[in-house]
Amino acid sequence: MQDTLHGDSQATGSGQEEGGESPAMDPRLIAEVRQAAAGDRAAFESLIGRYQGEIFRMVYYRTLSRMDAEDITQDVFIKAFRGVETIRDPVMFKPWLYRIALNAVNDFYRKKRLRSIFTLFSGDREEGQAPEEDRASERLERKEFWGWLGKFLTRLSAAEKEVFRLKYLDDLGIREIAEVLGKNESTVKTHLYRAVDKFRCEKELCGFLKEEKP
Amino acid sequence: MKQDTTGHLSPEELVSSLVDGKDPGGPAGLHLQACPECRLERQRILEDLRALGRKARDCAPEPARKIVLPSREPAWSRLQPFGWALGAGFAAAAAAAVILFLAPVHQDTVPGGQGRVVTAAGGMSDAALMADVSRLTENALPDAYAEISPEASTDAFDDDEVLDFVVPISDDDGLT
Repeated sequence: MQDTLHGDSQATGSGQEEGGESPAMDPRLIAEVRQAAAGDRAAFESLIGRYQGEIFRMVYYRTLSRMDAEDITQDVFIKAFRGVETIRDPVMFKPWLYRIALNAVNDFYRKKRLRSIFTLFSGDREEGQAPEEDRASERLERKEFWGWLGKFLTRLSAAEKEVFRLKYLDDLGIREIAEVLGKNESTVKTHLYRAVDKFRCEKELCGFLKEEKP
Repeated sequence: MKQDTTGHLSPEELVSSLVDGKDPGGPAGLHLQACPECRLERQRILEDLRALGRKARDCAPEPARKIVLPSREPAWSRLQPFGWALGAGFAAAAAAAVILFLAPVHQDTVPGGQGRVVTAAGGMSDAALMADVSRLTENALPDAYAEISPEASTDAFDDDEVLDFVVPISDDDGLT
């Protein structure tokens, strides 16, 4: 699926208490969001530097295509740039960005379904998939991981799947997930509870992850 | 929530406390604080979930493309307080200018027509146009229909006769 391995783990994930609120926002980040909302292009570019990796990964987890993830991420930031002046509360910037990204991913799949109708009749092949598969074959481990994860996710309902991904792959807090999905926190927790309960029983995936642990 | 038969917290209770991000209250919370086995089991699930997140990040590529932002929109498009009204005003003014200043350029007089103005688009003289309008006002039907319409044969019936035929007068309608 891709050719290089970047294990930057500065990210987020483990530092946040499971199920807890999102961490307090960095005052510098708040200032940047305010400046960007006021039309400061440099401030918005700084926000891109801060969130591009996260949004790219978020999209990649859902498309498993580097090319598509690049394209969608570009679109997400352009949409965000055009709409950033509507942000009133800087704390809402991240959930807002994720919401744009999630909508972009959903649009991507809608268009893909539409295209597949035509390719079904024309016999065209989906472009860009084969090379990535070829590269993925060089990294069997990754392919295996995405395979296990994909298999597990098919056992979840759409809501459980999205909540689970936002929580444990994208590392958002419950409140942020609620904002992204436009649901209340108790609904998010209910879906998350069901998803984690299914995850707990996923012995093969958990076994695979244990092999990976240092 | 109920504890399982061994006295430990049930898997559902462990998952619930994990999702809530805090220890459960009541006896379950007290048990969790006191029971290393339950804490270990809870920690095991938590570690699996964290490992999943780490592995996903490790298995995803880094973005290689630089985000290119569009140039700022022109200043006039950012005049939010006026919005559509301003745009509509400009459009109306532009349309008026076109009508007032450009339309006469396309007008021409018909040779021998003594200054009658002909529109560039239509090419029809005012008199001919008015004649058509008058004819249509009097009878919008085409000639073929006019021939079979009652109006073409008004010598056969006058208006009262037609009315009497359509609505016969009754002697016992109570009004006379």
